[in-house]
Amino acid sequence: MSFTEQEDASELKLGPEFENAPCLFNGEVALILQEIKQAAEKTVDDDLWDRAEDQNFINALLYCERFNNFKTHEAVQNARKILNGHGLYEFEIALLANLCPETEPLAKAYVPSLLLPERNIPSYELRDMLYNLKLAQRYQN
Amino acid sequence: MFYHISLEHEILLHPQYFGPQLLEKVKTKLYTEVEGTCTGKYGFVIAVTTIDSIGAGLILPGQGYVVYPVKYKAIVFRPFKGEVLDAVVRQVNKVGMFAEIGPLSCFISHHSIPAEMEFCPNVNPQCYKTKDEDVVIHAEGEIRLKIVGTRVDATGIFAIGTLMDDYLGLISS
Repeated sequence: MSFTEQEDASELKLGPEFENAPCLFNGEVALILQEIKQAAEKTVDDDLWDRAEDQNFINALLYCERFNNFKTHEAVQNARKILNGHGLYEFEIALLANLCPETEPLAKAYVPSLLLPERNIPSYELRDMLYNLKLAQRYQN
Repeated sequence: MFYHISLEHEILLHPQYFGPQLLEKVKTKLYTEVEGTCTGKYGFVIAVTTIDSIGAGLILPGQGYVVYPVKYKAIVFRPFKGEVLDAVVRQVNKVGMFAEIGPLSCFISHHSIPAEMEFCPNVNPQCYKTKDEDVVIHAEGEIRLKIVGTRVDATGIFAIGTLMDDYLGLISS
C-alpha cells in the first residue's frame, strides 16, 4: 500500500519531511505569491518562463485570497503572537489561523491533536486564544 | 496546508550557457523545472522563495553538460489524512461532489455527505440540500471538509474528503 497509510494529521503524524516543517497561513502564502506575481509582471523578458502563469500557482493564489483570515503583514504577525507560546505545534497554529474556530469544541473538532493524552492545554487558555484570534481577525485594517 | 520547506534539485546545463549569465540561467532553470511539479513526498511545489546555495558544477565527461546541485526553499502544498480544510465546490452530481483546495482536487462521495442532504438534479444549479432548504451546497459554494485519504499518481495528488464529521459542511459567513 502507499506510504501515506501511516500519516494522520489528527495525531500529528506528518512523516519525517513535514514533522518540523514551518507551516504557512493562507494569508502568508497570499502575500508571498502576490509579491512573486508583481515581480514577474515587471520583468518583460518574454522567452523566460512566467512563474505566475503556472496553473498550480494561479490556483494556490486564488484559494489563499479567498480563504484568507489575515490579510496584511501586521494581521499575520498579530495572529502569530496570539498563538505562539502555548505549546502548540506549527501545524496546529496554522490550522487554527486558517479555520478560525470560534469555540473550544469547534477547535477540538478541527484540531483533534489537541485532545491527545500527553497534551494538556488548559481550557481557559484555549478559549482566550480563540477569542483573541477572532478579535484580531475582525479588527484588522 | 502550505509549508515552507528546504529542497534540493540538480540542474543540468548545456555548455551554450557558460558565460556571464550562467548563475542567472541556473536560477531560471530551477524555477521552470520545479515550480508546478507535484510529488507524493513533498506535494505541490507552488513557488521557489529563496535559493540558498548553488554548489560547484560538475562537468559530465564526454558530454560537456554541467550538473549544479541547488539548495532552495519553496512553498509547497501537501494534504494529509485527517486534515480539515476549506474548499470550493466545483461540481455536484449524483455520485457526490468535487471540490478544489488550491491546486488539489478532492472528491466527496455521496456516502460521505450527511444522509439528510439529498441530491436535487432538477433545480438550477444542481445541488445537495436538506429538506427544509436550510443547507444548500452547489457549485461555487464554500465548504469545510476533512481529508480521509490521498492517492498519488504520476500527474498529481488526489484527495478523498468527507463532510460526515462534527462541524463540517457549508461555510456560512
